[in-house]
Amino acid sequence: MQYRKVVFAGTMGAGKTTAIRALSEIAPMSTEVANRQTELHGKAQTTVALDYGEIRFGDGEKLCLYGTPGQDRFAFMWPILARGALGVVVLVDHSQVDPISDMTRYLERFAELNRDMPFVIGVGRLDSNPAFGLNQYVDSLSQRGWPYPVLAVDVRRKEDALLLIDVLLTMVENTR
Amino acid sequence: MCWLPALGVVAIFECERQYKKMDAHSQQQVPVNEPYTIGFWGLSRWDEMLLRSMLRMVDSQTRNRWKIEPAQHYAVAFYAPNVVNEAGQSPPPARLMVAYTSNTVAGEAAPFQLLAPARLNSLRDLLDRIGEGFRHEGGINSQNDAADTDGLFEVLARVLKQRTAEPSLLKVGERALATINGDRNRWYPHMPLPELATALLGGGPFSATSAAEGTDTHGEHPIMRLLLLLAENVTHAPLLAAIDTTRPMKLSAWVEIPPDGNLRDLIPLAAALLRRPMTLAEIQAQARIPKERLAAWLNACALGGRLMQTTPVPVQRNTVADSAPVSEQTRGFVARLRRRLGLA
Repeated sequence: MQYRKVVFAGTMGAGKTTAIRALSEIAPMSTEVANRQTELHGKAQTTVALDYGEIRFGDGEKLCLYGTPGQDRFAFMWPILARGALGVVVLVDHSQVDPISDMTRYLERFAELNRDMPFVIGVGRLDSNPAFGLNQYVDSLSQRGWPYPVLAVDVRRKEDALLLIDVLLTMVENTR
Repeated sequence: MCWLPALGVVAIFECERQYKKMDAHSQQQVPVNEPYTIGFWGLSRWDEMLLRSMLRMVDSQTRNRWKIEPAQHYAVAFYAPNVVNEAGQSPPPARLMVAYTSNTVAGEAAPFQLLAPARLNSLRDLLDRIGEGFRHEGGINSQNDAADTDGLFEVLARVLKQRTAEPSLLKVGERALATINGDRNRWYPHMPLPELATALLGGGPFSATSAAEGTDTHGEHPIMRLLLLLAENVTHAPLLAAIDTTRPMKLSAWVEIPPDGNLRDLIPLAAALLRRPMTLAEIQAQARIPKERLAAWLNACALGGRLMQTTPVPVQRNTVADSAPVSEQTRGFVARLRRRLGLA
């Protein structure tokens, strides 16, 4: 019996909880509370510890889906969640003030933990700021020498959430 | 029967530019809706999605908004290089043909009409004129009406509307030919081929500016989207001569692929190529798309400067890899998970 995990990281409101809900085959466990940091994001609830979901298959095997809390003050949990993970899905809310910095911050922190960790970046709400597009994320990654895929996604759609997992698994398979 | 790769496509869009300007009388911002004609050329069929992508660049600087109608006219320039057909025959070199169609029903173009076969050396004067057009200060710039009226695309739009497309369309094909044939040094001597290809294939109102400055001044790279459209549409795509199929290939950076189109299947392959170099045989084995589309996509990546070729380094005993290879246990886990998710 094997357990492996994938971590969903990103700022508050980036869609981590939604992505896990879209993928999980069990009722996802969530630690959402009323959002008191409405200046950061207007949503009513936010995750304070972690989200958890599962995909079960085979002979008792399962892929565990962990969502990190978005607020920086819970950053101490990231290494715990990332330990032994197959990879990290970094979700970015394009409507935020500086989404590229948001992306960079998460990548830096998780890459510190494991520089060979596969990452895939999912950018949501791309239409909210048409003045710039995915290429600016790609350019930013390129400048740092980070060859990670960047996809425009709507994680409310299961097929988009699955695409992120598909890409992440491909990166795992192609690790040498 | 030999095949003819399309080198240049022109699409003419009827647009409306929507913006606000200060009214001198009332001293208030008033909305302006201005009819606009935009022509694009590139290596493939253009569509509204691409145009919108291009216009974002304008929008980011001018805050204009654009109402875009489906393309009214398309034109294609075909060039037959020295390829050999199935019967082992080669067509005449440097043969240029132009086809033209009018989009009679929105979204459905009429069949292309072949307008004019021509030989390259009969069109030198047109080449010169195109060169002058692109050296024009400001180039063909949709933010500048005066420059636009002198621009190639304006000419093309006007001519296409009159359905006397031949001379101007030949210009397009000629320009493509000139680039491919090495005349690039005449206009863009300072630009290496990948950047040149990017600038030229980026097309649209930004071609002149981008080419002149050797970079995409708008900070975006519509080229990859265009090239992906190329990959989508090309039916016969041998690999570029510049790609050595015996050497492993790797992507140096992510290549934007629309996740909702029929190129979606390329996304995992692109992710794999970011991770490690693969030989053509390995890529073909892993690709979930037909070989022709795969070749077109690899060509597109190479033209965009994103495809690196690497030299295989023999693994020596007693060396330690930078990263641990994936264990068989993990591979098995991933394979079973894929099957469970329907991703196998």
